[in-house]
Amino acid sequence: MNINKKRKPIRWSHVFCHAFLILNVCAMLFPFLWMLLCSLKTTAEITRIPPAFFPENWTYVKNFTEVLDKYNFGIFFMNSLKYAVIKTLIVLYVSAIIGYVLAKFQFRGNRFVFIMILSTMMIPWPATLIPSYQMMVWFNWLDTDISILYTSLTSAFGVFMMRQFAFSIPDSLIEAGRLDGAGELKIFHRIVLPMMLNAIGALAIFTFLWEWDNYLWPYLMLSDMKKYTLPIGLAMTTGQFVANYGPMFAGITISVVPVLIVYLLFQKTFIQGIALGGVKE
Amino acid sequence: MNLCKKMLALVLTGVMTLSLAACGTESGTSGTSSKPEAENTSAPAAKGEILGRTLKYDTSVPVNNGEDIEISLWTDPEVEPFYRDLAEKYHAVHENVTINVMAQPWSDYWKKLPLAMDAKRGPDLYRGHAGYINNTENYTYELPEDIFPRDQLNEDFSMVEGCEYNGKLYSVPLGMSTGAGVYYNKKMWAEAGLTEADIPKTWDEFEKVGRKLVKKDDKGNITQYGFSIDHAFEGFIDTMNYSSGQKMFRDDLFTYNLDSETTYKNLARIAKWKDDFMMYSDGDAEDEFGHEQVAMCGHWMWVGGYWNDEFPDVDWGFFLCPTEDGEPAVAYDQTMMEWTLCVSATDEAKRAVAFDILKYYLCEQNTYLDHCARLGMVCCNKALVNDAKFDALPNIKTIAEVSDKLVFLGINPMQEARNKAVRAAGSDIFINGKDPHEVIKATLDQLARDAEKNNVVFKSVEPEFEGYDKLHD
Amino acid sequence: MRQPGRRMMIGGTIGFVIVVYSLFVFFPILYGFCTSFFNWNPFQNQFEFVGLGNYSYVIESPEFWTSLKNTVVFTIGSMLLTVGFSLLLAAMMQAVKKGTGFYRGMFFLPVISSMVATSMLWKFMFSYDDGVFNSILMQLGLGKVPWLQNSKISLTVLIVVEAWKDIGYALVLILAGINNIDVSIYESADIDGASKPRQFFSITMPLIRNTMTILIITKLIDYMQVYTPVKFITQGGPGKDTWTMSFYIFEQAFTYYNFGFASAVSFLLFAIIFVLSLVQMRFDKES
Repeated sequence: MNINKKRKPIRWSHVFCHAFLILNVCAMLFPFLWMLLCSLKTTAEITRIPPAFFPENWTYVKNFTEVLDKYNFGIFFMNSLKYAVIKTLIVLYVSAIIGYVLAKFQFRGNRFVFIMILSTMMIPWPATLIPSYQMMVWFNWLDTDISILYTSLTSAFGVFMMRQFAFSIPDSLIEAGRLDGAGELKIFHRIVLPMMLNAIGALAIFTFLWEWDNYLWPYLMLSDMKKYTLPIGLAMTTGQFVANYGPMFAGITISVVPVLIVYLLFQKTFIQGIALGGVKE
Repeated sequence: MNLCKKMLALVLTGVMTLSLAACGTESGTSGTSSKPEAENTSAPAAKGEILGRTLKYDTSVPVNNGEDIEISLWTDPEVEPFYRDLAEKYHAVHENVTINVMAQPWSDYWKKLPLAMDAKRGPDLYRGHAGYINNTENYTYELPEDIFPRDQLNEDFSMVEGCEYNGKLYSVPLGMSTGAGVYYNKKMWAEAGLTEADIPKTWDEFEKVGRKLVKKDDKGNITQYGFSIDHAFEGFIDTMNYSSGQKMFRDDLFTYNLDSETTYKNLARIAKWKDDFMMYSDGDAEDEFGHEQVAMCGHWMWVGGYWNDEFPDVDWGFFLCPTEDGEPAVAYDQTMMEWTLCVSATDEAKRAVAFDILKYYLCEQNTYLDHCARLGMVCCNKALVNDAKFDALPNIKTIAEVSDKLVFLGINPMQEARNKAVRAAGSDIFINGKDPHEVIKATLDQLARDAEKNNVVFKSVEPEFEGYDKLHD
Repeated sequence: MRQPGRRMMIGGTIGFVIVVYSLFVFFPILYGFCTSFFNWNPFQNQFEFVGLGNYSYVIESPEFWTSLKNTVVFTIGSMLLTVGFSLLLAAMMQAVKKGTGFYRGMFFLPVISSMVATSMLWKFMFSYDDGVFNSILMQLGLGKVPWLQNSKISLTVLIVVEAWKDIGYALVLILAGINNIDVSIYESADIDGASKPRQFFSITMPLIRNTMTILIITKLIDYMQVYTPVKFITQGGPGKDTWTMSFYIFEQAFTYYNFGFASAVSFLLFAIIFVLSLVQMRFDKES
């Protein structure tokens, strides 16, 4: 480290920066704090004018037990988890293989296909909602798992990210595989895919979150309450829970916290993924 | 270290999900409502018993030749426990029939239902509604005359023709709902030093009372408001207009009569209240009242049942809408029929069973009663109108007394669109401060254009109201 | 050089892409586009050809223009707030260098929280009488703010909520872009005596241009289609002053069930987004 750079006067600006950053962190995370505090309060405490800041009883878990039990959030949670995990796995695999082919193979129409896939990201989803619904009717896929999962096959964002990352895989490794006589698929599975695992972190969590947060399409597709997901459950609370804010906050906490925890644990790989999947300047 | 962390995370997640799943699946899908299970779980009919008054149901007659069959029923989460109860009772009578009751959230119910029915994935039975029948008519089956003879229906139920659309009967009315007046919190009333004698009959008296009911803290901030019609404005303006003696529709029986002197006068009143004692905040008046943030609220009848269930500590009362001169009004409000179930089963065998279930429901009467009481309406089953269950709903007696002053308008396919538009207009006028004349004209304009574009045709039956000649334009 | 293995790999993959995308993406789009020329209500068996009737009706509807205006204001506001603020945060983090990992992690938390859930949370926090923000203001002796009862403030609330969610994402991308810059450039700037802020504007910003472009275009497309916070926080209120295009499309579609009309509005939205993207890319090329 160059000693000349560490001069005392710089300290104050550092302090200012840190203070600013910490203040912003607090502001950004305040809603989560409020969410947790409210989930431990009774509805009366929440709706008092003015509302109480801290819960009276810090071990008041009745909101959680109620929302899991009476309001079926336990089931909704499992369903959300199921769809999010399966969809993520499919998106990862399909995008990886498509991204790899687009990045590493030269053929006529390569650029065209990529632009075509990319352009689908620009279509406003309301434009395809009703026709897609009609198609689900024709295929008789309503109220089935596949109606929720099939969109994993057409994730343009996934292809984009994976292709970006695939560029950084050394051609020499791939060639070596070919020289060894391995088939293309084997090369993909044995050599390329493991290397892409770093980028997978970012794509995985985004895909997981988008599906976790998906409200409208699952709502339209599913009529059996046993298949409902968390966002649908939460939306149902605004008509019905309107009096019971306590359980509503518990429901919100259940929707938010698990994803946060998983992210915090896998943070490193995840950030790496975004960075590496980012754009080459 | 990395591997350890990942393992730990997986274990944690696993434990969490398992415990959540355990909590969730224990109770099964016992409904999403926090409401107590239907209390009136009367014993199921004894075998061979005949239910009903004029319309009769013979429990000894087998259904679907005794073969097993499953029927799906969609309704909203609020009343789901009652229908689950019905399903159990019916199952006890006909063990071969299983009714799957599915709750669909109300706010998007009417998006999902027609789409599902169009896709032939709709329910066999569903809770019907006059405001949406125009889009569900194609999938709903008329009640057959042989199973539901009209003269018998008319004997047992009132306003049956209120469920007729395009001359066909699709359901039987559950209850009659209206606004017609104002709800007040009896405790706050007493705290402000008011008594029964202070119940306002004129608008001036109403304003005095409203001001008295406001509470402020030492800094001058309002902690308790006098009145609210949040998300109920579109109904209350009708109540005010009718009580002021104005017709709902113009001569073409289709255009709403909102661009009128009476309306603007009433809007000006509301504006004055807003300055004085009224809360207008894009919230929900029924919840503000329940949470005791306001002392009075103008709303539809169903709030009574809602408060009794959700806010049992609130002691509420009701009075009819005040008038200009304090004399009783010619008409207090419009009235709308809530429907019971409609049959939409595409399969013939299921349809037959569905009609049977509907008949059982009408003759068995208990679930009907529960549902009606929960929605706080004037019951359309003539025998149950004075049932003890309605004692906890003081508004029913008062409203029943003036039932001849409530106007039935027919089934209006524009009703929902109009409600949304007028509610937005209210927000525009009272929150955004736009000019009432411009807003009303723009709203009516938009409704007219939309109706024309979407081929919506409707002729109100308002002239059939007895006091129609005494109402003015 | 092409071996059959490679040909199969390419053929199989691209074939799959073409089939799947055609079936699940392009066909619905085409179908939707065709129906936009009809008054189409499947429940009343209405399928009547109106040519450009839907489009002209939309253009003549004041509600369309209100929604468009709101959407544009929302987009610009969110973009400025998200990008501007994250650049500021990035600059600060570059200046102190310590704790970058921690800050980045914390700022990213809103990004991966469920928008549906947090919207409900925000709605409650901004509630006039029992919301936490107003109660804090009251404690401080200031008056209550009608967060969701005033058109301008309402829209601002939506912008702030969206920015809250996206700042972390923008920040991560920007930091990644900055990491790619060769440190030696900064070192020579230091030797030349350039101040840190000056370095940020003259070196950092130009060199992360590609990242910024991608960020801005993807966010542009997202913001123009915003729906969830509108539905769960303001429901388009007060009045119609926070109606956005997607919200308008759904309200129209499911009030009158005229799906042809809803389609027409959707394609108008698509055209607008497309044009805006082109403009953005052209602007970027020029500078």
